[in-house]
Amino acid sequence: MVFFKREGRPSEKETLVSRLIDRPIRPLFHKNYKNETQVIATVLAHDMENDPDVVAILGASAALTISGLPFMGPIGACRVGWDGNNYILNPTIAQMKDTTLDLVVAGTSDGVLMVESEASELSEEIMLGAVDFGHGEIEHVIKAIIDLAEVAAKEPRPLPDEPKEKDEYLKKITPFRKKFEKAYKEIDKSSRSTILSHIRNEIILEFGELANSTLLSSLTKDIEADIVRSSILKTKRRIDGRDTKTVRSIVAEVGTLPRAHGSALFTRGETQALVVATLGTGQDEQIIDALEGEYRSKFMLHYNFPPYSVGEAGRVGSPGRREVGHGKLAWRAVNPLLPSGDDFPYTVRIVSEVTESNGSSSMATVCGTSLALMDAGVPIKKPVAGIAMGLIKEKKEFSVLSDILGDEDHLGDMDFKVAGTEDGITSLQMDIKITSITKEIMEIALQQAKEGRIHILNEMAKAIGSPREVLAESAPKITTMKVKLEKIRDIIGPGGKIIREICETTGAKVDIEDDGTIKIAASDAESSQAAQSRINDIVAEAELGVIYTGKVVKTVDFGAFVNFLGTRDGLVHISELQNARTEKTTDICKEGDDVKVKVIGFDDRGKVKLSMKRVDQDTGEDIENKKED
Amino acid sequence: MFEVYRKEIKWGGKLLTFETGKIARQADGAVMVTYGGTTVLCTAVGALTAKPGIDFFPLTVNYQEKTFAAGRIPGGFF
Repeated sequence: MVFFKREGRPSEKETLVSRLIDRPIRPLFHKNYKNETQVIATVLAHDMENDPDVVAILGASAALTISGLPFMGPIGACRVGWDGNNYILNPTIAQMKDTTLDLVVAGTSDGVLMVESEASELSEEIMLGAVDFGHGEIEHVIKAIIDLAEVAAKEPRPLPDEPKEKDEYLKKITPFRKKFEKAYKEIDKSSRSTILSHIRNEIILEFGELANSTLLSSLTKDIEADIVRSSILKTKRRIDGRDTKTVRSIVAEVGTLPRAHGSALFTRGETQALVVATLGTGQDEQIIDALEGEYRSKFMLHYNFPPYSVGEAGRVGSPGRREVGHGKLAWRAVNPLLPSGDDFPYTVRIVSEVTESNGSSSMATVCGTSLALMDAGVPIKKPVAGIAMGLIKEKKEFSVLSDILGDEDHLGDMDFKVAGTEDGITSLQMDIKITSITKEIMEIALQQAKEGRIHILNEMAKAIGSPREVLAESAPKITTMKVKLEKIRDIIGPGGKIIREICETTGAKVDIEDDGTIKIAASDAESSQAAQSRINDIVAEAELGVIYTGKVVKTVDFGAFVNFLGTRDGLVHISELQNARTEKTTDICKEGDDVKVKVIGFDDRGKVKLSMKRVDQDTGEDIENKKED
Repeated sequence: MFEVYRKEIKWGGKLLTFETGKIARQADGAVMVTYGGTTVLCTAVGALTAKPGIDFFPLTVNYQEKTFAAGRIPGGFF
């Protein structure tokens, strides 16, 4: 990193914004257009006020609109904040710090196509209001892009033709519809897939090797989708036999991995996530090098989707765009519920391994994360759960599906994911393919999502309902103390010598912040206490008139040096050793003797002057004051 | 040399500008968008023919942040 002075592989933000642009523009290309297409958005200037992500969506929309490509836009996009009373259009980066909502909405003038958001437990009503507000505002931008296109657009490319074989193919496939209908009545997933792939093979055989396989598979897909969709609308039953509202059966378990700081196994139907929480110290924080400056993150969430989770063999490597996106979605859902750094000084890393998947693994990750955090003793404000939903609409009729399966994903006209607590939404993500979904329909859909979320929260509470009181034995123990600013340099020492020595001898990790807060992290209480007392010794100051117990470290002609307070030494002048005159220091004390001393003053170089004669060496009582009484 | 088209609106209290015709003229569509003081160059290119044998739409979106946009050289600590 430090050695490569050029931009490297995409950062998390770049990957996420690439997806954010992709999601609303993809459904607007003509369905027969299959040419390789690329949109590149390059941030050339950042004013540190306006996040370039929304600007990039607008630019992508404008570039596509004037390009002549078969893009049915333009779209507009904006960011919406909420200050408790009002929505804020395109809040600045500084304003975002105080808002309880970060919502990006994109769409055409007919309807919303995409919503991405993080919220501090806001109600369905406020969330929907934000979508509506945003959709109203993007109208202005859409108009501006149309104005630009009117003067600057290229000739539209001819729309791709319907493949000429289409009608002939359709005629030949239609007889198979009955077979598909029967197959989709099979509730068990594996026997259903066997029958389905059998029918698909039959169709391929019917057409022979020379057939246009792309067209064939897309026509077959259309028929299958139509069967599933109309059956749901007609019978309100789904391919696995559920009605539209039922969530698949859930088993939640915590403490799955005994050596982890916190762990959970969340299973919902055929989707399962093993989620592990690890606690760390300030040194484990992630440093993020953003355009708007470097910042640190105390909460990391890493989502992995290994190929075995869907019974496939495949490559395992660095996470793809989908994994980064799902991880961030779960991160947004949980982030608003984490305790503040003052209440809980630990860095938290979550790893979610999706071990089985049949839809909605990102929401299983949210549930598993909530459980694993509570198992680790992280004092999250409330448990949080997530649910993936679908919506199917034909003319006036529509059905909302709770907890969709892998097979139902992309089948719907609206796929949306809602995460939140019993009191409100923390994350809402929507992808909409048609423009006729009204606010009223969204309201009904969000209400059904809420019922599902509450049900899942109740199921999760059977495993654990609130954070554990104590951290796992193996978790680091962090204690916080505060010292005066001028003492920081004494603790660090020249070139970090002292602090290094403390860490080495006690085994604890010591982080000093600029405001004098010291965080001591140790694997056990003993080493934490050892480090604390070392620091206390350094910062302690001798107080005038106070009596300390010390040890003689050196005797000289003019008195004895006594170590009395941590690393602090003071001099007992020969005249202060005893009330009578002393010939030689060693007559009274020698190196290694335990003595009681009183602080009687400081010389002009700050050195401490001590006295032994003013203290009763047996009882430790102050004789000087007694005399005065 | 250039045939520049601009469209400006006031939006959310800030100026939003779309400009095309000056930069990246070989792309099918290229628009510079400026909002406040943040500028993003967006380009769109589509191949002239379809890729044979695929039944999905091969769209790629690359969003990239250049550190010069914030007046910095990457990789260093200050």
